[in-house]
This record gives sequence, C-alpha cells and structure tokens, in this order.
Amino acid sequence: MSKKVVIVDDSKYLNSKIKTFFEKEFQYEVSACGYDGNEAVQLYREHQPDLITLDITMPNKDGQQAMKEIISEFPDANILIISAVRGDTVLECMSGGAKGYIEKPLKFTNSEFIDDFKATLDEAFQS
Amino acid sequence: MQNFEISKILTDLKNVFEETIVECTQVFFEQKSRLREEWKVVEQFIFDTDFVLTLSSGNPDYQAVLVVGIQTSALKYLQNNEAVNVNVAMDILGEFANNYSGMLADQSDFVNSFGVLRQEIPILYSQGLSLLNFISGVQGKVYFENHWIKTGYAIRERRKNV
Repeated sequence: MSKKVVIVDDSKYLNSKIKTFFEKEFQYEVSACGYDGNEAVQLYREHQPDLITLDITMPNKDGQQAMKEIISEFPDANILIISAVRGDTVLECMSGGAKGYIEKPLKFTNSEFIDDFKATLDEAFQS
Repeated sequence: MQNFEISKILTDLKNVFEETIVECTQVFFEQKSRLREEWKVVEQFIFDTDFVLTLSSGNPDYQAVLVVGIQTSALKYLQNNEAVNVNVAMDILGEFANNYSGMLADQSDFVNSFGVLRQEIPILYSQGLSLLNFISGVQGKVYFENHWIKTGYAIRERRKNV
C-alpha cells in the first residue's frame, strides 16, 4: 500500500511540483496540500498521514511552530522539513522532532538529489 | 547614504551574487540562464518592472532586503503562457527569492561576511514602485531566452540600542 503524505508550503507553484515529485518518484499518495502552519496542523489531524512536509517561512504560523503543535499532539509524527532557511534553524528542527531536513532549491530532475531525498525518507521511517 | 565598508564587501562578493542567481534560475525555473552584463553596486535601486517583490532577512548584526523584479511577459513565459496576476507573481517570485536567499547562505564567502540571515515573509508591489532607497546594494539581471529577472541585494548593519 502506498504511503500517504500531506504537503505544506506557502507557494502553490512549489506545492504542485512537490506533489508531482512524490507521486512520480516515490508512488506516494498525496492526501492534501496546505499553505500555512495553521492548515498543517488541521490537515495532520484530519488525515494523520505517514508523512507531512513543512516549509519554515510561511504566513500566519510558521513551520517550526506547526511542527511543535503536531508533535505535542502526535509524538510519533513523521515530519520532513523542506525549507530554504539555513543555520541554527536546521538543528532546532531536528532536535525538536523533525525526521529530516531538505534544503531548497529542490533539484527535481537531478539524480543525486533524488537519491539523497529517498535516503532521507528511508531514515525518517526507520527512526 | 552609502556605507563604504559594506559597498566594498558587496563589490568583493559580486561574483557570488552573480553565480548564485544563475544557478538559482536554472534550478528553480529549469531554464538555461546567463548574465549578459556585470552586476553593479549602486547607491539606490531602480526597479521599473511590472512586478517587484522584496524579501527581508536579518540576524543580530545585519538586516538585508532582496529585491526581485520581473515583467509580465517574462512571468507569463515561465508559466507556459498561462495568464498571470498578482497572486501568481507573489507565489513564484516569493519562492524564487526564498530559494536565492537560501542559496546565498550556502556560500562561505557570503556567510563569512554577513553570517546566516533569517528570512521574513515577502512583500509584492505591482505597477508603480520604481525606487527602493536602502543604502547600498548590488543589482543586475539574469537572462533566460529573451526574458530576464532583475535582482538587487542590499544589506546594512543593524542599529543597536545604546
């Protein structure tokens, strides 16, 4: 059975690309897409997916805050951060419970990037 | 007023900004991209494009603004000739700026000069904003096919409370 993923990024342009990437490269079922941290929390409750991807810089509620709220309610949640934010935030997210951190830009057609992405997913599900 | 120390750093980093924008454009839009002319450090940005987006970022020592400008025709080209509006411009330029800003933070020369800056939510202006007075910045264009995106990056030391 294919894994279910919820994708949350404030860019519709990127959300659509990430959705296609998960479907084509990994045969995931995309349960829903959201555009800010509030939607992330709501969609997680509603779908309880195998994985949720979160951007960090988003309006209304950022990805880090959404991650905290999801983990407080669902401690085993598999959260993958996909963000252009660098520096201490990466460590903060990983120590806060994220299972992986993918840095933008997303090189959807680069085989090395695809392999790294897959390895991150595998690690997320093994941890 | 121009801060000469920062202007000098930006001049030294000009090739970092140039190389990063070409790579960012190629990866983000999947377009062959190139520069046609060298970027310049200017005292004041001039953006006369249809859409202008600003993305602020900062850390305890510096505050910066990244400006991205694009004409409607170029944005339409990137959208496979689909109709564009302010929402599309905000979405695409905001994410592009977000990615470019992140990629600059991967450049050791940039980080050694300014550190890692945390990004804020972008702001879009359409039709009307032409001048952005933010001390000194490096600006230039990146070309793809017959279109271009204009970018400016300005940074200044954060004022400390005394």
